Amino acid sequence: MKILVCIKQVPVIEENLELDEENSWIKDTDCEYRISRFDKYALEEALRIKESSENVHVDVISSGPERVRASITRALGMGCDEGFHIPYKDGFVSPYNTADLISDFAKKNYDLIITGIMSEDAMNCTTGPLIASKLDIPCLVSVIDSEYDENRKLLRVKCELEGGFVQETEVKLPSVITVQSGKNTPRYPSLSNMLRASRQEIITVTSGFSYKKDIKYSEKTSLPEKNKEVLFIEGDIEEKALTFVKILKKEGAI
Amino acid sequence: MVMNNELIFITDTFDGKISENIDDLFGVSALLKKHTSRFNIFLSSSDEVHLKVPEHLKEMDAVCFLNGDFKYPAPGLFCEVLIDELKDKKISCICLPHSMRGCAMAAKLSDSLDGSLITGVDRIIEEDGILKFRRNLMGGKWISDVFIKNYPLVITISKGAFPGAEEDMIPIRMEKKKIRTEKDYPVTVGIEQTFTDDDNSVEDADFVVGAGMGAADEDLVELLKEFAGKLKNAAVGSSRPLCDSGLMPYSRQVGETGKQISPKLYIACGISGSNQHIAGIKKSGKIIALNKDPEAPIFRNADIGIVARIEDFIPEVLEKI
Repeated sequence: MKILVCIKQVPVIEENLELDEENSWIKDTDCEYRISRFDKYALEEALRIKESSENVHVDVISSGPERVRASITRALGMGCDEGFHIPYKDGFVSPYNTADLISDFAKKNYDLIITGIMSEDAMNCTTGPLIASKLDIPCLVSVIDSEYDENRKLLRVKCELEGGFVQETEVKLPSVITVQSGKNTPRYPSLSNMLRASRQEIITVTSGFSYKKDIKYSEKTSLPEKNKEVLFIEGDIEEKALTFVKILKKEGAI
Repeated sequence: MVMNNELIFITDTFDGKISENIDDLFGVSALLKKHTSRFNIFLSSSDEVHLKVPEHLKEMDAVCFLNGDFKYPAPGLFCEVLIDELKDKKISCICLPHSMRGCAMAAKLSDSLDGSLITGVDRIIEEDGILKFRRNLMGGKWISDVFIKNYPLVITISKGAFPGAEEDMIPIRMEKKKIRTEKDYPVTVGIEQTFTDDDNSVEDADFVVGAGMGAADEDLVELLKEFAGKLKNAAVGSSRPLCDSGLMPYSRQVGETGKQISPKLYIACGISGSNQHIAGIKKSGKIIALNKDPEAPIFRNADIGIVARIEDFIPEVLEKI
């Protein structure tokens, strides 16, 4: 069975990120980056399937500038077999572009394609479903657990729904699943695995798609307005605590 | 650019029940009314459903696709049916609820109908006849206004973002279409609830202390529990990532995929304030946010803000109570 995990490298969003002059993306592209949180869960899901069945091969792929190779290496350190890099522009890339790149690479060569439910930066929640649409294969989203049935050649997955419900579904392969955070904890690669991974060659993929600005729409990015005018409590810690306790009393909490 | 063709709402049902998100779809209709020639709604269900709509939508065409597999969400099958139904229509906009499933369907529909795709829309702004669709980036730190040039536009609507005006709700006639399919689709084999209704503490409490990743430590979670213990009729809620870490149970998760609560006072401790979390606390009487980062998005949605670390601030508060 061949699995392809698609990961995205994202800026560390807890940092103070300034917009560039065109208001299109981050001003300082030298900020810190990491694998998008939900893609770590996607990697973990793939590696669990690999460990629970025989003859499962896991490839990892990412598109973007040279720096994304560090994330691919980390995924190899977690336990993926082969890593692929599609060199592509820095900055914002629409999910349509990414889905074109991935589906063009994957074609019919994979039994299962796994992504996170969304990326932490763009938060579109659509790349996985677009890949599935372009390959004309099923897509199940918000997966929190999966089990590969080797005899019946299908995947049994649990998908999170609203209201705390979980839907258990069987899907024939090939298909795409997008993984939600939760049940399985993404593993940390051991030092020895990372040393081995850093020596492993990452295969550069020549894409059939050169970047063209998405003609369907234009975007203007900015800092948000405030929904409320927040009142910050002033003073040192003790003064803040005193004011806070007064507010709690006034609200009837104590 | 003004749209002047059909506006389509799409939503599925869960065991005969229509999703609450339909209220937001109706709310959007009021904003887009003058750009639309006609409204339609398509639902999927295993059995007959009864639909009530706001007065201004009483002329809307409503179709319910019936199939046993639609008892629970079956987005793959529903999409195939919709693509066949919609491919010859002149459509301005297709609206779905913003959920993972809604986004997946929106992606499939926009790709199949060669349309534009915008997910998580929480505001629609009209300027000089041009519509801008607002969504969030970077966990809520940035916003993006999207202008589209290519129709149909397929969008998902954030929960609670478009409350409709008070209107009488009118029952409307629904056309039923039975669906048969030869193709293989994913099959539902079971439904379970991850948390039972036994734990209603966050829904029932007057005062909720929300714990986020700023409290990602057993001692800090205990500290917040101790604090909540000092308040009248209080409970501790949690952000999704803290539940994922195992430090809080999912029955306490507050947010888009957890519980939506409306306490008198919500005290968010070490919570960054992503849209997913805000969706769960929007209806609180008052929101107080405690976070060490003065730029945290939570402060844009709070009435009162305290910039401090939980481990420094809460012990001081406990001393003074």
